[in-house]
Amino acid sequence: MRGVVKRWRGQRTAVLDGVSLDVTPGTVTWVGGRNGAGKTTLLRIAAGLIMADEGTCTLRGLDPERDRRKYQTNLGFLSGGNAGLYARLSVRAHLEMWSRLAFVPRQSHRALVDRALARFELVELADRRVDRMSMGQRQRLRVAMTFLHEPVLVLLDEPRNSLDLDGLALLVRALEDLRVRGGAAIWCSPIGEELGTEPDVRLVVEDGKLVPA
Amino acid sequence: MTVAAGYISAGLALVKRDVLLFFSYRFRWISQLVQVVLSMTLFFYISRLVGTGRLGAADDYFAFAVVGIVVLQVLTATVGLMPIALRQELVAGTFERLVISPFGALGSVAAMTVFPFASSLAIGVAALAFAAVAFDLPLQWPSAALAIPIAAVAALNFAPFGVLLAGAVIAVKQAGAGATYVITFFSLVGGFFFPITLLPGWVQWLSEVQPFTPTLDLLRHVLVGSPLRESALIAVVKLCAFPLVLGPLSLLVLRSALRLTRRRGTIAEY
Repeated sequence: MRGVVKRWRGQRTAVLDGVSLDVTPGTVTWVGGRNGAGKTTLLRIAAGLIMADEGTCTLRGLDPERDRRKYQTNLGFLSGGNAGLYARLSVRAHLEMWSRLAFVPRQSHRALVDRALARFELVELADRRVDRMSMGQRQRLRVAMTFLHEPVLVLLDEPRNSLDLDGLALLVRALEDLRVRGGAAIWCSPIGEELGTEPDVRLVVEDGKLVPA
Repeated sequence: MTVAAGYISAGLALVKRDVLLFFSYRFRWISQLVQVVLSMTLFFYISRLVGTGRLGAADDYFAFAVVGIVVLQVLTATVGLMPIALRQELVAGTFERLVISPFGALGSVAAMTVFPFASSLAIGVAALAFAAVAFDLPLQWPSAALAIPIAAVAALNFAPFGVLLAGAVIAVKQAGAGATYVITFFSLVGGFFFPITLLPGWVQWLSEVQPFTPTLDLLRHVLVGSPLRESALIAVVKLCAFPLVLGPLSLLVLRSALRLTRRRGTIAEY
């Protein structure tokens, strides 16, 4: 990210004011900040969900607008909260659908889905509908979808949401695997939250700027 | 996997999602079928009151209305349900996931029009069969098969209206009322329940600048043998020409709505 500026309509000050961030392969970057500081906005811009007013954002040289498909293929985004699931679809149906939306090669669909089920300990829940699962189980599914297509950059917006210690351990293990294969992650959460892993870089959003924690 | 194969696979994944969600409510399709059957029955008895020079006998009006009911059902599913489904996606946060998928929002919205169209068409076929069996609807079996290609082209005509309303939902978040107006307007000027020749002359031109009137004309002709208002060739040309204009226009509007809301940062809002 280079010089990213984002202003909300009707607000005088920018929520992000010239933010620059380099994420090195094989690292996890933690971004903290008070509520409303702009952490989610930062991730949403990086995810290509919303556009910055100024500045650029690239992933391996890919632009989220010009190279949208390739950019998104390389990206995994876990949004904040517990949304983004279909209440009446099963765990497996979610993973299978996402593998196809993520343009996973046809011959790899089943293997990746089975791997995600095993990796996030969802095998026993595979055929269960989402509305019959606990919030923590749903979060595990959301995390599984984020990592399913083996993205090179994973963006996590308060991923601990509803996760118990076992769930957190699974997330941390997935991040370790990501580091090992040369991927990177940005983990956003409020200051003081226990991460369960030691990030390589610690930053904080303050007054629209990204500064070392 | 080629890019084209990837897009097709992703589009089919969304169609499969819609199928699974639809059938997760076990009685939903039955209730839709019952609704159409009741409409058929209602119009059958209303048609017993009809005996005008414009439509001939009561049975002629019933045949006229049955095709209108079926097409209106398809129109409602394709145009009216799209904004509702999309709004549900926005509220549930699932649309956000579609936007950041490699398949993208544009493809996702387009794919979302497929199942409502196909399912309403299937229910329409069942309704026609019911009308034929229960009320002696004079289906023209030799030409009825032509309804399939007409329906396929009709899909390309109906979908842009759903896509346009999807753009409105993304931009202003509420477009349910707009869908109701669109459906009501076209049911009035399209000739769904009465011939457009009954409309005042200064309104009739509206029947010529939308695709529903030629769709209805052709379907009535091949299904129940109603005479065409104009030559079949002209009706077919109209039916093929509208999507060439409406398709790109609707995608352009949707794309603009997506870009606007991504720039404003309101795309995930509802």
